[in-house]
Amino acid sequence: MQADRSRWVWFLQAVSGAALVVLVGVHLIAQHFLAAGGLRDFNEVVAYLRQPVALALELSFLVVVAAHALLGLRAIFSDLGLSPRSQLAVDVILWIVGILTVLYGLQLTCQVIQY
Amino acid sequence: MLAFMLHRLSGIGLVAYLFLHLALLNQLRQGPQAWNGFLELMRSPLVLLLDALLFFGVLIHGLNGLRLILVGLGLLLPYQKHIFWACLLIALALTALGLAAMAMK
Repeated sequence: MQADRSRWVWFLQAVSGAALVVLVGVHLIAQHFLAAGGLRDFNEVVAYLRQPVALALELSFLVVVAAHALLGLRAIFSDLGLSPRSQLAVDVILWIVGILTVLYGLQLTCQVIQY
Repeated sequence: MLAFMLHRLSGIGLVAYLFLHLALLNQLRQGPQAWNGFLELMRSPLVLLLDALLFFGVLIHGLNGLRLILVGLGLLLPYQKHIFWACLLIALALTALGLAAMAMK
C-alpha cells in the first residue's frame, strides 16, 4: 500500500516535471525573452492573457508548477521519516496550500483579463 | 551527493521563488501605473543578477530532473555521472550566455 503510494507520487512528480520543462520554456520565452526589456508592461500582459492559447498555457503552468512544488516539499518531509499521522497532517496542509495557490492565481488572472 | 544537494537546494529555492513571484504579481491588481513602476525596480542590476541565479536554478533543476527520470526508469544507468556533469555544464553555459546577453543590452 505504502509502496504503491510512493510509486504514484514518484510518477506524478516525474510527469509534472517533464511537463514543466515545456511549460517553463514557453513561459520564459513568451513572458521574458520575447518581451522588450525582458518584461511585459501592463497592457501587454492583459493582451497576452486574453489570447485563449496563452491563457490555457499559463493556467496549466500554474496548476502543474504548484503540484510539482508541493510534491517536492512532500518528498523532503517524507525523507525526515515522519510518523503516518504526521505525514497525513503534512499531506492535508500541502493540499490546502495547493488549492489556495491555484484559486489565488485563477482569481488574479480573471481580474487582469477583465481590466 | 553533489547532484542530490543541488537538486534539493535548487528545488527549495524555486518553491520560495514561486510563492514570491505569485505575491509580486499581485501588483497587477493595482493597475497599469503600479505595474509599470514595479517593472522599473525589476530591471535594476541587482534584480537582474538574481534573475541569472534563478535561471541557473531552473536549468539545473530541470536538466537534473530529466536525469532523475532516466534513473527512475532504469535507463542509461552506467552513464549517470557523465549525464549529471553534462547537465551542470549546460546549465552553467546557458546562464553565462544569459548574463552576456543582459550585459550587452
